[in-house]
Amino acid sequence: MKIIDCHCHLGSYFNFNVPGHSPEHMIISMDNTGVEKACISPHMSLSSDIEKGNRFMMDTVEKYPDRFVGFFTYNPHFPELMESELPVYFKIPGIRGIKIHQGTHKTTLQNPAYKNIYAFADKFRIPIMIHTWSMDTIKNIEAISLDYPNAVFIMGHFGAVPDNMKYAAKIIKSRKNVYGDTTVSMMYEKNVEWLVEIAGEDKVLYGTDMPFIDPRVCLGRVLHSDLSGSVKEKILGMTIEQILENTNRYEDS
Amino acid sequence: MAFEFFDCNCSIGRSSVLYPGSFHTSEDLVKRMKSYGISKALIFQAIARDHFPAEGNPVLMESINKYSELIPCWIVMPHHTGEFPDPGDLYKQLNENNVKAVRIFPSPERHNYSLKPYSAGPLLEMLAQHKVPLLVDIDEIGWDNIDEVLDNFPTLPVILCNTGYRADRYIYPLMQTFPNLYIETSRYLSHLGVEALCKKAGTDRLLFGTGMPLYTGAGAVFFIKNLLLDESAKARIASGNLTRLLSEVRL
Repeated sequence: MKIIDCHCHLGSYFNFNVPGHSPEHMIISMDNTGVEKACISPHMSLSSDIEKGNRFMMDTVEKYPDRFVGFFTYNPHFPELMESELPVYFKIPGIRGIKIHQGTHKTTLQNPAYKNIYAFADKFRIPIMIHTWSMDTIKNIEAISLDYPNAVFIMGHFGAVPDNMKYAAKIIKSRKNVYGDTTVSMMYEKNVEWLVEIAGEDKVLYGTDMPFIDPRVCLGRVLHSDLSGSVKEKILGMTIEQILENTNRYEDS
Repeated sequence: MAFEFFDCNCSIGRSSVLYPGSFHTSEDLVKRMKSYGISKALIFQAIARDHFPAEGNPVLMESINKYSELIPCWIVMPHHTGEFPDPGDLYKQLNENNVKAVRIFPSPERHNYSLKPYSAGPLLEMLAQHKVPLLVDIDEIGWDNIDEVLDNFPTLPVILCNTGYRADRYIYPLMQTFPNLYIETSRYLSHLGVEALCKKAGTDRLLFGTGMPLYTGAGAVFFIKNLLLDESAKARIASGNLTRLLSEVRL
């Protein structure tokens, strides 16, 4: 069974010790549990220097092209830098997604400076991994995903708490271009099973936040869920693989 | 090598909220344990946490009496107001009911009392004297209070539960300073953090837990099975360390 972790980070972090923060530590972890690839956006690009953070992502993808898929972090506070760097990064075959963390960037998805990146993702069918912790963010994605129907919106964390998750799952079910991932720190009993029941077996992606959080508990709750083998295959790798393959290559444009 | 799983962080009983996928009966807990390969669980009653310990603990005993795999963990509190037995009476009750571990919820949002010597001193002294393991969530005790308990009662095994993944900068110095501190694993999730902590503090002070019925049992078991440690170390974390602590209780 192919396993692709769609929601990972990279590097050390200001708020707590991350014992296994390097790409090599992550590969040890991935090899231990049979994970083929991880989609990465470094902590530094979320909490600190966007330029250095994205560069760390690119260097890692180029060093380990078979293990990591790059997600370019978009920070709306630096629109000119973002516009100049987008073409540079998306020429690299291993960079296939966009990361938005409006929480650490202290803004909302309605920030007009995000419009360029939504349009870019729409043009090239690129997945956007969005930190989705609040009901406001879920409702923003509900609206924005209609305006950019070719972009793929991934609700990272699915809304984080059960009431939000239920609402997020209904939106995901109703939108062809919206997905949710399994990344949470509070991993509720049988949570994956009921998310699949509401959102649909084709709309739930395996994600863990590694190395922010150890991925093993999350992998175990998917592998040993009550779901069928074919549904697990979709969650653990098939669906995100199709999303990544469906992106139009920037260098071909 | 197959090893036994003994969950130290588990409860039964109806709370005010039932999350989807969760459960509250002993029967359902035992079924889930069986499906995940967990052979024993140290459990408390939600009524004792969410309502009142002196009413919840007897309900616990009644609800587990058909299940040898469910081991009682009473929730306790200080006696000064007369709401709860004094340490002498509590010791007798623990003995009579063969209860070898207790848990506390002292935060202002729960049972709302101080762990300072003037309040919890007699209770903790009795538990320390008999080496009765004390379980407590980090959110209930706080990082700035736990060192005083560990220091004042060095024979009291304290099992810190639900620590989260942001805890190493507290846990490392505490583990190095206080040999009576133990860490429950269900939410101790810094990346490769169990392996790193074992290098610092050995493999005898981590204890397997799930957090059921709220948190995933399947994931918690998979986590321990896939630690990058030798099989004997995994076996100690999965059950051996808790079994040893319970065997050392002097009731």
